[in-house]
Amino acid sequence: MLGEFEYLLITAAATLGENAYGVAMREAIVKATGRTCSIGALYTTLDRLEAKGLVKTWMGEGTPQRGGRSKRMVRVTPAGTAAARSFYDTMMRISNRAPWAAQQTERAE
Amino acid sequence: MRNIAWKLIEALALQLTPTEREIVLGDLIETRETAWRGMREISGLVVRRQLQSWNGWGPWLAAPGLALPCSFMLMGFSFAISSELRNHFEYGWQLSFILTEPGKFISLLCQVLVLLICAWAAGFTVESISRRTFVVSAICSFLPCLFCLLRFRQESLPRFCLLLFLLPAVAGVCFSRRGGTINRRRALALALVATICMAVLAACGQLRVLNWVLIWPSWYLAILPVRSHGDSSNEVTVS
Repeated sequence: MLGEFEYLLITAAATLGENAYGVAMREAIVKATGRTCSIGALYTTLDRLEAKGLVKTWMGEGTPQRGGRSKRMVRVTPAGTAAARSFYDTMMRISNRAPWAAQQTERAE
Repeated sequence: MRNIAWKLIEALALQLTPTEREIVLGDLIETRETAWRGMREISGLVVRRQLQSWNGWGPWLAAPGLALPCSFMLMGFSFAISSELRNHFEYGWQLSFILTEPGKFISLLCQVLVLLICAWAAGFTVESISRRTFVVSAICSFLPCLFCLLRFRQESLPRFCLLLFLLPAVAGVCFSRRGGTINRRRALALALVATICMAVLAACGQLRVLNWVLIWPSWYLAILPVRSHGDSSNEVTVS
């Protein structure tokens, strides 16, 4: 099963689609969690996910905003999608009767 | 970011692979991080990468398992060879001992061969199995040298005679660093020569049991190449 941060990375990459790369993924994670995401944590986790075959990364083209330096582009593989779905389903199932989940459902109603 | 700070960040990033350096520096430029934060980010990644490289067995084998004990033992050989050479050549080139004392000559020859082969093989092996943690292996090798140099009390010999082994060891390291190749047959021949010389020294009573540890890097190169190119090639390449 995925770890929390692994799930965040896969979800950010899947959401960003063709534009998934280091900086954009960090911004998405910071925006969603309100926590900082270090470059070290991002790239070491990406390496781990790639080794597991859950994402595929490659060198993208450089842009003037980056001083012409390349980006590390990310794409979620079918195995990554399946792992993220499994994590999400598990979280939903286990949270189903949790007090905070019930409160949220009541609020929604 | 200020120029000096950026230079520092680039210097820190040299610890990363060229590809990763390119990506990370690009990320820092794009996000316009402050100098302090940029340095923190890069240091964090460098530390993580260093810690990751200690996950495998290679660095542990190379640093405390090879560099440290081999330095001690090879210093012993360096000292023994220096003492022998001083005895025979202190008052000029006295080569007559080759004929009058062939046993001593063979023993000296074996010691020199063991020193050259084992130090070269150890340098080559340490560099090839712990490329990313080579600095730590080098420190593990130099610490015993420092310890012995500080405690050296032999007046008839220069202190640096202990470091004779460093020349072939550094040559081995440089050879590996340049991506040098060693033919499997040559590696086997070197290992055999080192083993025979050790056996001769043991028969002469000039070898401690622990010194046998010195021959494993040579056999490692002969039997277990770190990386080989080609399916049936007998050329061993370490990169």
